[in-house]
Amino acid sequence: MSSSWSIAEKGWDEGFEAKGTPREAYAGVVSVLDGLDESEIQRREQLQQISLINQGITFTVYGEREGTERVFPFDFVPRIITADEWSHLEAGLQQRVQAINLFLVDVYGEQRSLREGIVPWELVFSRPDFRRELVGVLPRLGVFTHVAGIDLLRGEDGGWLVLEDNCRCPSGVSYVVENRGLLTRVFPDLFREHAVRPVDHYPQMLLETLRHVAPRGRERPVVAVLSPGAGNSAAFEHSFLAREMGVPLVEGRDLIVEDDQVSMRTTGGRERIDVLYRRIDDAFLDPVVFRPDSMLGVPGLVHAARAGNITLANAPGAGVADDKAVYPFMPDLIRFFLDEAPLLEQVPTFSGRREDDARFIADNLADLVVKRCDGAGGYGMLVGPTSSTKEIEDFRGVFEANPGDFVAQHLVEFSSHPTWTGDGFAPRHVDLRPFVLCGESIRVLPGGLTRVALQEGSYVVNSSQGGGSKDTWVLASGGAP
Amino acid sequence: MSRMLARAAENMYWMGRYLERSAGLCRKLEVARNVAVEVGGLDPDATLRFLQDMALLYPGSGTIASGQSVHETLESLLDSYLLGHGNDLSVAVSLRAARENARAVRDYLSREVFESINGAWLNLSSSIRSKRDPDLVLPEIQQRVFGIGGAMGRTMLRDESWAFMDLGVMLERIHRVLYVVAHRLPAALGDGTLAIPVQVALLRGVLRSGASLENYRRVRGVELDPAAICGFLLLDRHAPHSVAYGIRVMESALEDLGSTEEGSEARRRAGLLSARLRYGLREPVDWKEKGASCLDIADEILQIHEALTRQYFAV
Repeated sequence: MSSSWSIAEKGWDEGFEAKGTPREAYAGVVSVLDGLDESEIQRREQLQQISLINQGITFTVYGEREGTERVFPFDFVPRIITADEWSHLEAGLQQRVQAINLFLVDVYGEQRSLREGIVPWELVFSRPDFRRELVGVLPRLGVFTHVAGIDLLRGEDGGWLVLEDNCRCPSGVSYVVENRGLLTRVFPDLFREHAVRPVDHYPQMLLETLRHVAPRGRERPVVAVLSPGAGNSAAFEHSFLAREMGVPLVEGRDLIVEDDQVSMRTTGGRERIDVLYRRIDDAFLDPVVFRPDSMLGVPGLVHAARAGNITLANAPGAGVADDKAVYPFMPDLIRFFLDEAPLLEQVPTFSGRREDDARFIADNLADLVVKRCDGAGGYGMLVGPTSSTKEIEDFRGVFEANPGDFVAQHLVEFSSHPTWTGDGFAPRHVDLRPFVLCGESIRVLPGGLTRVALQEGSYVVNSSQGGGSKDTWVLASGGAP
Repeated sequence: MSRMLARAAENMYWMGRYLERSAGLCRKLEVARNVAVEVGGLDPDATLRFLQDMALLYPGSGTIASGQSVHETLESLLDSYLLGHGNDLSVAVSLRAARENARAVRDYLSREVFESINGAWLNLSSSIRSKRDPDLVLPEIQQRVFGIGGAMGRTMLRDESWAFMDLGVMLERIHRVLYVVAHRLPAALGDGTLAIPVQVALLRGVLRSGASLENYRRVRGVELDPAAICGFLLLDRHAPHSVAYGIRVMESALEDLGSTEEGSEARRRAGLLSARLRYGLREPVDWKEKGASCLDIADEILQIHEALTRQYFAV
């Protein structure tokens, strides 16, 4: 039956070694799914769809007129990572996040890495997420990024590569937990022969992390989640995390800063907050320091943090570490701060700021993906291999005017994973966002959010553009989860 | 002890109000349908009066066009009060508002409660989009809306958030029951010349509008006496839809919130209202006189709402 599963024609197929031959870790899952006829699979898929809708596990897509709530599509074929593979990934992620935090402490502190030229100082100072006003302000215990989401891909040989770091407000962890719950309810038989490491303890891990970094002298710190509100695209996640941690979900209008103390307005008056897990971008966090027109933030919040009366997680200013322009320097930063070779490779990236790289980019535009450092969502970029000669030449003019604004990478043919298409199983491209928590120690939630491009041949895994997600299994070593 | 966010308290309160409003509207629409079927043919004028008083039970909801047949009026009621066409005081608008409030306080709700609210709204909105027959939609939605109350009662923590939700539910409920006594009871009696079967059907409709027909029968027997109906809906201390019961629950919720009569305007007003009901109204109730004073009590209920807002929500 497994011969009816089509496999990837290009790139790494995560489920199959060859047509009809599943990889060892996938043999059990393929066998269980082969035992279900199409109507049974469709019935269960319908069940999971109803469950998602009823639970309101949605995100909001903003169009021209108003936000539309959508269910994040879920594909039930789990992605499997073996214990050995995960152990390597976990160590690499811990190393990377440790280096990121050391880099941030350095950037807002001694600036040794800038003085010694590991990263050009003018590059760091020119980045929009470098917060000049925070120089000299170090967060409690030197942790800037308490929660990091590191996006990974598998390259053509199946090896893992870091695609980008998310050090500000990485989202998606609620889907990791909910996906597991959903799969265990709708496809319990898939788990029969596997010891899968659990993920539902994430909120507890997060709460421990947040309490650990509370201001000194607060024995029973009050933690809250700060959300832009129910209309935000990630509102479900904000509410999920608050609920699962048992802490208040607050909005900017619920908070007030007086004498550098942050309080929330409760029915019994004002109550002090010690740690704020904020899910609002820096720019909107405090209208006194950042955007003065922000209606989402709290005036005086940054000053209260500076005074050491509240811990903001993640700390403002952390975004400079996940800037596309800084990314090419991460391997060097790991070596500089930790005196270790990076355990995880990253997608080789050319920086337009380096003279040799800029020349190489200009000479090879047709073969490269060139991105603006401050661009997002696919805007302002060139995908050389799929562009016309005119598009490439037009882009050349833009690039050569300011090469320092760009980075470039070879097009990565990232891996595909068996996915249910409605009438069979076919390969679809996937990425992975593991979540890393940095408090007393650096801990990684086993697995992470696997996003899948549901359209055939598509490389776009974003939820807003037709992507879905999968449950990600990390198998326990020795059989015990 | 940690107190809840003022904004979340307000969301819980309004979620309770909107859910109760949805349930009350469903119930009254079902009553309208039953009355139309039972006596629409026997006495169209009395039936039309009864159906058209929806606008009095929900002031601000607009009026139902006159000159229509019983059947057309019923259709207009469903279109307006169920599907929400041109009417903010409808099941559709109330359920959507309840769900928006629920989304804002999802961290206070059990999964069962959120899913039942979400499911009810999704069902209704999809029915509206697909233009399903409102006659078929009403029982489905009614069942779902009543199910929400069950999920709440069985799964939610009896803490501060529950107290605020209960305040919202009871305030909305009492308010509408007072309007039923003030407007629907006189409409059901007409000028005293209605045929007995018509009168009985309409009085049953009054009690059903206040979710009290079966309870009334158990306590007062089968005779449908206007004074007894008025007394039951206002004063019965065990009927969950009576005004006295509602005030008692509100007092208890306010007490749970730590309000004292000295320090809380809402508690003081609720206490006064309770005393007024206990000592100012004695059975047998002169329903004509006391029916009119229901509107004063309804105003007092609105004052309690204002006091709650000042004390707890606008911190």
